[in-house]
Amino acid sequence: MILILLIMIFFILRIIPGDPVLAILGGKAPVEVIEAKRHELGLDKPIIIQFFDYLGDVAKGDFGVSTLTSRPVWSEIKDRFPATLELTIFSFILALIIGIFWGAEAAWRKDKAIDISARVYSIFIYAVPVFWLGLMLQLLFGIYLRWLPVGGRLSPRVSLDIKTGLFLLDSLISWNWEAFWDVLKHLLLPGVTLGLVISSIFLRMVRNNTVLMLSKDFVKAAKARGLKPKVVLYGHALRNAFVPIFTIMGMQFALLLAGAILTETTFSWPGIGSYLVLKIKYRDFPAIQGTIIFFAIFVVIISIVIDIVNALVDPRVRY
Amino acid sequence: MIFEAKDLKIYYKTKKGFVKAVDNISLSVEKGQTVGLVGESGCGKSTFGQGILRILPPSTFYSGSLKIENQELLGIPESSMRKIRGKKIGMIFQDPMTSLNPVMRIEKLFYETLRTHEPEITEEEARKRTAKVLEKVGIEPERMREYSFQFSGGMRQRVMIALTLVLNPLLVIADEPTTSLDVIVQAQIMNLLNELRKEYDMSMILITHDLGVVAEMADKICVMYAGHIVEEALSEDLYYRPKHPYTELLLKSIPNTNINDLELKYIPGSPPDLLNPPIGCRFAPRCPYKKEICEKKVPPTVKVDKTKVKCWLYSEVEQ
Amino acid sequence: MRKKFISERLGEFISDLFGTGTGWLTFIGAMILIFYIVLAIFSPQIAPYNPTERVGRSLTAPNDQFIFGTDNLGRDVLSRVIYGARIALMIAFIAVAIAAGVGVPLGLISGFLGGPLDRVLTLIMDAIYSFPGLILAIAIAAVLGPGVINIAISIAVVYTPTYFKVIRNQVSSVKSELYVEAAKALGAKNREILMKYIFPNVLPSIVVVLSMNLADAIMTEAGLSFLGLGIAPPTPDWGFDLSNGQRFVLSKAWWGLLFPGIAIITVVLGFSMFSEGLNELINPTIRERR
Repeated sequence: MILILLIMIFFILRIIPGDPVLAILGGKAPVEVIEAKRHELGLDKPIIIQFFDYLGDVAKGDFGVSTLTSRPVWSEIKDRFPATLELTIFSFILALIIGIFWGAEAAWRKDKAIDISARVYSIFIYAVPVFWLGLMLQLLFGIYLRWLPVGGRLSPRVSLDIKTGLFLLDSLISWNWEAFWDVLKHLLLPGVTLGLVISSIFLRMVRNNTVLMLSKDFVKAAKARGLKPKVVLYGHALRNAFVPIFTIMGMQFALLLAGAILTETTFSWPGIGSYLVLKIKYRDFPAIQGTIIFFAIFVVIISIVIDIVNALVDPRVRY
Repeated sequence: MIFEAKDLKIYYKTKKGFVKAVDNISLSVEKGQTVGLVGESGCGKSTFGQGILRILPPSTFYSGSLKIENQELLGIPESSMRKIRGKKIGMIFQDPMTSLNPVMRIEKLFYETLRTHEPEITEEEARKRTAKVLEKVGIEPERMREYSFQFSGGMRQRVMIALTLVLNPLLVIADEPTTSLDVIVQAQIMNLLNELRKEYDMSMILITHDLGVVAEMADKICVMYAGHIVEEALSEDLYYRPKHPYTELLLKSIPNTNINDLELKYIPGSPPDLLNPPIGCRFAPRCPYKKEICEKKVPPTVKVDKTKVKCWLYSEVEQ
Repeated sequence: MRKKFISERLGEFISDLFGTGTGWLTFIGAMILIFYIVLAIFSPQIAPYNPTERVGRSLTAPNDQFIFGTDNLGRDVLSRVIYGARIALMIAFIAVAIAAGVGVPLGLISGFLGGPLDRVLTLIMDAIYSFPGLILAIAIAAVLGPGVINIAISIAVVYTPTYFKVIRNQVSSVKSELYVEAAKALGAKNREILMKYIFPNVLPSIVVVLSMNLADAIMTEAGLSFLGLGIAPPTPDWGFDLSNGQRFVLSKAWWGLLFPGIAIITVVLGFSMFSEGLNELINPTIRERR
């Protein structure tokens, strides 16, 4: 799977109109300098050889060097990835909470206000562009109400000892409460934006599946044994409803990444999403290539993780 | 008398009006007695069974009286009803393939049920009781660590029975306990139920459409048709001296292997629409002994010998 | 006699449409779509100003002269929103046309022929499908550069696998159905079988996917423009207008954000409602016919 993507990405990017060498050196450089640079970057070799060279490099973890900053692409990705990770984890958890609790209650009280509002919400939010939502929230909470900052991860005057790159975690580890609140305030708007948008799909799926489960015999049997409604809903109906949702979680995650790119751009969040956009503007194609491949690998790893969790949650998969 | 239903009505609320599934029935169960409730699909017997436990849709209408150990059930709040379910009245469901939660271990199902009604029970104690009751139904206690899908249909039904018995309820409602099982397993389960009822001195309402199933076990049998109980008699009386035309035809339609009588008999016509039931006796349209009065007025229930019968053949009309 | 039939069926269809709640859904969705299509086609007639010209002071709030206010370059926001419909719908329709135009035939062939071709194609399509769509679109848009066709292509690539998968799976299962076997036994040629038996059964799913796709395509296009990878300025585009967003936010110029955003939301909602309703309508009909 990754191999195919790699092949595709590599070859597609090579067709970019716009010479990266010229982009670095400027159009006025003498021909010999241009050629020298081209040779240095290995761009004068036959394309097949370039590809295999690259494969070898990737296997070693070498994604090449940025033509823009001359830093290794991998270290740039490494620097910016934790920011994206923090954002996506926060949003994902938020989306899960909204989806599960609202969805379950909506299914339990089908066709009542909580259910109708859930259905309307999911249809509506799905049509809202994540960046628009972000901008509106910025306007409301950042500018009009002045409660939350409009961009970035950390206020300039706050110091933080960075260990994992996940600022929330880092501030907790070093008992730095000032930093913790500051980070949280910065994380809130982008996290909520992305989280709300992703929650729409969860909500819908949880609600629909739980409604299905509630009509099943084992739920009736559970009720007949006098179990409390919360136990019936969460322990029996929801637990079974969640099983098919896991299979689409992988797809959800892909959507999450896509949304992250847009959210990072909106909030000047220094993650790999905004990194990618930046690199595209500058035609830094080792960086672009490296980032996209990184995304691909990341998605695959997450799918594997989800499969593992699925096996844990559904005993039928194990036996 | 451990259980009594008097003038019970259970109507389903639908967009088109009320479906009069159970329309004015009275039934009583003595301690240690097994009462059979027979009738074809759609006659209201399952509605009755589930109605007693009030696990029908919330919009369902009830009227009349339902008493367990002289405690009135109709009209009590849901929280009180929950204490009755499982503890005082237990239910064995029809389809063992779907009435057990597939993602929960068997022991958890038991533990959760026990914990709900006896909050102080310890895990150790719960496990002991679970093991004991599983043995009684013929399942090795070690299997309680397994999941329901690891059991065959017959075994699952045994688990279901054990789950109902572990709380030692006063009354057990068996709703078509063997309908989904093949004939041999059916016999095994019926034998099991027979043994258990003697051992636990169980009072039971056995709901089924199969006259054969109910023959051995029931002390008295109620025949139900279109929401009415048309005949209530001791087993022997019912089989050898049926009073109601429906019972008679029902008995005749049981296929028998008598070589002189190979023609398959059935009752022509179909049960009435319970949304708008007929005005008089509900069986009248199909009854071979139909009189003029039958389609005009609902017959009263009268006692003939030791049998109660709801038919104009046995009572005179006041002129 | 024949004429009566058609109008009878039409009548039934219309009463079906409004009998259920979903009928209303389809209707409202369709109304929204027609509204925007009209807006797109007749923008020069409807829009009060030229969307690319400076017609007033920068960042003026909505007033009598400029109903939606002006943007940072003094252009009328209302006109830009109206003209924006053109780009959005154009790109969306072209993208979906390409995606379906490529995905459906490939799916038909792959599903029907099976074998190594099928395996290879499925592998490629699955790889594309499992990859986050926007990222792929970004990559391709980055390669191809701006321009209506280019952007349409980048979006189309993301959605082609969807058509491919749906069609291929349906074809695969229909292929083994008895009536196809019967046709083969009677000597029907492959192409005939494909067109007469398989395609008509597969058509309804295509239609539903199409409308859902259009909704997605508009979102993706807006996203691409927002990131600066879409249509080059000064062509009016909702996503692009929102990319000026930061400027508007800091100046409290909410009108520059609200109106293009609402436009996107309503168009996407329109397509979604339409496709949901269509889905409900088409599927029961199939079940009846079968």
